[in-house]
Amino acid sequence: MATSLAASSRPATEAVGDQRGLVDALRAGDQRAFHSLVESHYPMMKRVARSYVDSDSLAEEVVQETWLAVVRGIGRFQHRSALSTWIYSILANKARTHGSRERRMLPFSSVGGPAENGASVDGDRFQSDEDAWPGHWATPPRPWQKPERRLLSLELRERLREALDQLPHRQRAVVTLRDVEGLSSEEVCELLELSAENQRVLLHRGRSRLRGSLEAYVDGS
Amino acid sequence: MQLTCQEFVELLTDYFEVALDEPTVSRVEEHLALCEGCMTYLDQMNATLAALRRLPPEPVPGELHRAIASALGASGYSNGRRDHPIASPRRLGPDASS
Repeated sequence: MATSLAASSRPATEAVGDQRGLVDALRAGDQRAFHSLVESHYPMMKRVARSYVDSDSLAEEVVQETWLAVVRGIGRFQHRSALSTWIYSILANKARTHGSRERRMLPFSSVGGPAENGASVDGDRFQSDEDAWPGHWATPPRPWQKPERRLLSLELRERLREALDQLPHRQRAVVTLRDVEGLSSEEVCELLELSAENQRVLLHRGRSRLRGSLEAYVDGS
Repeated sequence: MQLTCQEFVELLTDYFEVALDEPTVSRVEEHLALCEGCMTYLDQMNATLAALRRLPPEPVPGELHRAIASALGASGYSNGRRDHPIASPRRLGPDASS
């Protein structure tokens, strides 16, 4: 398990040097310490849990069970690993238990069935073999004017969130952890137990679909 | 051999991830230098990634904070201190209203 999880792009309460102080506060039952730790780790924990189980509500349950186990177990935490590593190993164990209870059809490590395959861009947008330049753009993308303004709009953010929610769950987990949470590819491979290659394939498919959704939105369809 | 645009779009993530061999990187960059459509595609992908980075994190359900607070109360760790009582769930956004 990666030791640098707390160093993602999101502000985390767990600066390396502060870990002992933080653990002491948690052991003392300091609710504010728990509160801010939960706030900084929840989105990522839910994504990781969601990659093992088939529903959002079950993922929330796994996260809750994990925190309750942290409350019970923090007194026994030995500082042999980073606190976040310890928490994520509890999470992965609980998620795996739930995941196998659900008897999921596909292991996460497989890249996926037909629903997750497909080209990054609709083949109709490229010239065919009969055209002058087969495989080159027939309908090229149009530059997004003033992307700063449009891409910052609340409406676009909602569109992007919707498109992200509609991705197949493994693509969504990888894109969320890499591009929303800012983890490295190594961290994501470790958390989700993926090979580097499968991680890239899922990332590519997810990102490509999201670009397509934003293109459809910006071009006004 | 020249890349097609259709090939380019499938290589873009590997290009960003520095997962291509040197000859393929050269082909990608030669293609980009000549192809306005693919340069636009790359710009759009970068804009998509920038928009993803700006998505707000998912709010923590108020119920989770309450469950932790209640477990802390029952665990015996809280050693009787009540100087920072249960965090107000109202701070946590829409989920916390229940």
